[in-house]
Amino acid sequence: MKVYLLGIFILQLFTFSAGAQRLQTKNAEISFTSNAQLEVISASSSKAVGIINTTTSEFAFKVDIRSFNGFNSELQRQHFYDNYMETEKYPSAAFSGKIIEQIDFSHDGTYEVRAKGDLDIHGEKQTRIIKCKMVIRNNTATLDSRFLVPLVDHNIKIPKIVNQKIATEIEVIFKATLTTQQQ
Amino acid sequence: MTVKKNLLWIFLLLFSLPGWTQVPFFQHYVLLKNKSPLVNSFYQDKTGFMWLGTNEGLFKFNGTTFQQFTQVDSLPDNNVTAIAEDSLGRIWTGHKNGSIGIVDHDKITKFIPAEGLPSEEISDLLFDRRGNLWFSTLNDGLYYFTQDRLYRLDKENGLPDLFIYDLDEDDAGNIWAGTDGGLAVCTLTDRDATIKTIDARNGLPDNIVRKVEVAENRVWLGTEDAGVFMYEPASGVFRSIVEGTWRYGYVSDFAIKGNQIWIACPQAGIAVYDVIEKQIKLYGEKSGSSFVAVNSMLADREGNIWAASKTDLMRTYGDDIEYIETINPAKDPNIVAIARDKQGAIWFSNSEGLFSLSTDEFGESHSVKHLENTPYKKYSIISLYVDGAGYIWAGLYGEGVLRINPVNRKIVYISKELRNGNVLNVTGRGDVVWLATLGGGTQIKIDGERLTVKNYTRAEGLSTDYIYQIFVDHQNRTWFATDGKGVDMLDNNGFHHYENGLASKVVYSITEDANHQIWVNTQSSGLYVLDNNLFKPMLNPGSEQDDDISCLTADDAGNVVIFHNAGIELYDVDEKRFHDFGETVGMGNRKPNLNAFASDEHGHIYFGTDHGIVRYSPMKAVELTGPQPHIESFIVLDKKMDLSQLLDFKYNENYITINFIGFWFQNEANLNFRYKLDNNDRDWINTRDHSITYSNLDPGKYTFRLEVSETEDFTSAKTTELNFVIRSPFWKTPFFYIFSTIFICSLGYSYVKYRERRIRRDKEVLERMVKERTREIERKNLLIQEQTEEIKSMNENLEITVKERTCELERKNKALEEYAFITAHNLRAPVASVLGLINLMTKLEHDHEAREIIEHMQQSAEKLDTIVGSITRAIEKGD
Repeated sequence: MKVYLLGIFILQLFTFSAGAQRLQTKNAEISFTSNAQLEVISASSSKAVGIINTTTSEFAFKVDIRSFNGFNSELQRQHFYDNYMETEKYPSAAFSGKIIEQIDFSHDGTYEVRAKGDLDIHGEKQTRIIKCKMVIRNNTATLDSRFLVPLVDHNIKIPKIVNQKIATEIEVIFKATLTTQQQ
Repeated sequence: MTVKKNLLWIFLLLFSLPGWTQVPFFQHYVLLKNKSPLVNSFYQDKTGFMWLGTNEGLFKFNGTTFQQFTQVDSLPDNNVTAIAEDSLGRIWTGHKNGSIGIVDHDKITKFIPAEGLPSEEISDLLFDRRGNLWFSTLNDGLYYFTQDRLYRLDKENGLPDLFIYDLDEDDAGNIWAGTDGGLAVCTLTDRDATIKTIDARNGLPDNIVRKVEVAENRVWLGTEDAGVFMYEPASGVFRSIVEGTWRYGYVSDFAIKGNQIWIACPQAGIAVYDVIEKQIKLYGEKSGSSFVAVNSMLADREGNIWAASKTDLMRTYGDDIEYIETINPAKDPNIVAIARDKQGAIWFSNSEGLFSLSTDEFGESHSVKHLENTPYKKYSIISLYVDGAGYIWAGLYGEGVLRINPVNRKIVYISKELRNGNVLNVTGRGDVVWLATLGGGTQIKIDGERLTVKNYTRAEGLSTDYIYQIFVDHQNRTWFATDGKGVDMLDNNGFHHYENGLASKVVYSITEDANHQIWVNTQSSGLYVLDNNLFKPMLNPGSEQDDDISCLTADDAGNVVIFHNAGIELYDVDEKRFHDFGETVGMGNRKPNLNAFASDEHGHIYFGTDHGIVRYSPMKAVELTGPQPHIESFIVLDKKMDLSQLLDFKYNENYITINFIGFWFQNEANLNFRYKLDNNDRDWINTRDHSITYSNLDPGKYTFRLEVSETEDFTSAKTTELNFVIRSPFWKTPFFYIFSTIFICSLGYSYVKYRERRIRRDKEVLERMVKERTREIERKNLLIQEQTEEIKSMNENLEITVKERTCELERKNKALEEYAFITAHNLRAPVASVLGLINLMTKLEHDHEAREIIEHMQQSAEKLDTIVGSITRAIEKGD
């Protein structure tokens, strides 16, 4: 249901009048690392999609959980999908909201911005303010952000038996290059 | 609550580890026994009650008890996120689910405007000066309610963002809103609002403004990442309160008290910024676990600062008094002497030696030991002083004095120039330093590196050589506190001596107040003020501080500061009132050491005690209100009255109980009350109770007056009063009196009239009767007259008859008399002869029979004589 709404939201952003400016991407990179005592697990995806409305500074990003690769084993990957993220019920993760700082997207430069919005993972929404470095050049925005996701915030339960192998906070790195809408 | 307070101060004493470095005293409160509600908002209402909005409902606090309101009491939602008060004194609550409640005399109703309510959390509520209600929401924009209609402002109206944290009103009536997109300044004209945005483009350092407070012509802002700023709308300038980066995380709330801003930084603790000193310090995790996640702050009217964290509700009077207990690596907390150098380090001495202590802004202190590699390592330092040039003077116990350069640590040792090496006190002014020793006073003039020493002893004019302390006043006169000889003073004219009026001539300390009066502290007879060569005692009526005063000095404002075994007292020279800092600020059992104190350039005073250092910072620019009296309830015959209505009772509603409290969050348990019921009590009655009952009051007009004070002295106490009237029973009212008088009079009148009529009627009847009788009597009279005539005539007849009969009777009588006379006389002769014959016979002899017959004849003859005799007598009698 939430994904559906999110989809509508993104669609709404797409169906703007010609005056509005949009920057978008279909292949943003998200990688995460779990740095636990007994094991380090990392995976990444380069199929995240996202859009920024340069007039209102609103943004929305979404990634299909199943697009993550790179686990230590296939079994681990399956566990990730089925047990921890429960992709049957929650196939995607998303982050949408607004950019706090007033940015003039037509002005080239490097900006440190804060993205404030709802981070929706495993069906649980958390209001987050995430710092991001944004470089704007020739109507292209390159984003680089690092943040932590505490598993407890999103109701992701780790069975005791493996809790030495999975960190309580996951480091996430997000990189994206958004350009003006083609087509 | 008391248990928690005791636990806390035991904590402070026993666990004086690096965790508890430099903190003021915080008192903790427990709202509920088994839960720890999260306090979202605070508010102190006009009466003085403290309102707390938590996720377990609304709480009302009077200083001792918390009264909880939840959905059971009609609260729209148990999660209260905003509180405000309207002009009628009603408390309005905003909730997480967007609903709004109204509390009026502890009864709650819901505010339901026709236009509906927001769906997002209400972050703030505000009533502007015209009485309009404003409320901000988290992501649903800004609403205002005016002229019975609810309006909403969103981005289309110019609002930079729908996520609004806080509201405040400026002097012109504009509403400032802190949002995720900067500041929005809203101006309402009639029903329309215009919005002006101030954001990063105008120089706002951080668009996320979580807290706004307008004070005079400045706006204070608390932001997400850039900390606290001061904004001047006139110039458009933003000034941060820190130099460099803000390191305390996001600001969720702050409260302004006097020159200080107390900031709640949930990621770091409580940051306190002093506007005048431009210094910031942090009470963070290192100062205590309750400082973690502090999210709300309030400064109340008493001067307390309230802070609520995720787990705690606490209150402090402020950092007037701070305790520095950790002096690592020094171990002995018994501080004998103390001074503060120009670099801000605190120099102190204990049994281990001489140290200097620096405290960083995080409240962590670290001491450095001095004199380690010097020949003076083992000397006992009993006094410390920082002179005009910034050098540290250390007075020794028998060995003279040291002058230490704090920068290069070079030491000048003075001993043989002194008459006596026991330097009890060091003081000075300008380029002169005075040493109080057991061999008189020593004056040392400083000229660069050259020191000129001059000793003053009894020979020079001192009363005694044993000097406890020397004090140089504003006129540069030098005062000597002597052991047993009162006080000496040295000026351009030489020595003067004062001791008149002192009960004890052992003087420990001398100081000067704002009015340039000299105060002294004596052994076991307390404080005196010198007035024209005579010492007058100065007593604090509220405490027993006569003994054990160890430190006497004055603060920057010229108020006198006293530190004795029960705490610190401040004598306010303007108010002429003592203010006590003892148990309420967690002084505990600390005992100050004699004359161990030092001041710094900001007016803070540092005291050396047997448990570390106490820093006293007199609060400036804060009006110290006293306790506030408040009448809680007025109960008549077990029924609670509504105090907003006129109190008017019938004559039999005269059993009254009045419950009252005093608002004094610092020390509610120690309040004294006095009350007087005008028209019933002759004079003020003192009590420590919170209630008074009057039974069987007479009808009349009454005024109940109540005053409260921390001490026995009520001269500057605040008063509150309540008027009520007990009506006389209707039979005592003048109306009734008049009415009944009239009634009685009219009754009387009609009765009289009735009687009159009766009498008149009776009179008429009587008159008739009388007339009748009179007629009868007249008739009878006539009858009698006739009868009288008859009787008269009969009488006359009778008389004639009687006359005739009398005549006849007389005739007959006469005849009878004649007959009787004749008879008698005629009879007498024969009788006599018979008698005589018989007599002769007796003399003869006779026989027996004859004798008897003769006796018988004699007897009969005598009888006959007697009879004739009696007839004769009878006739004679009749003549």
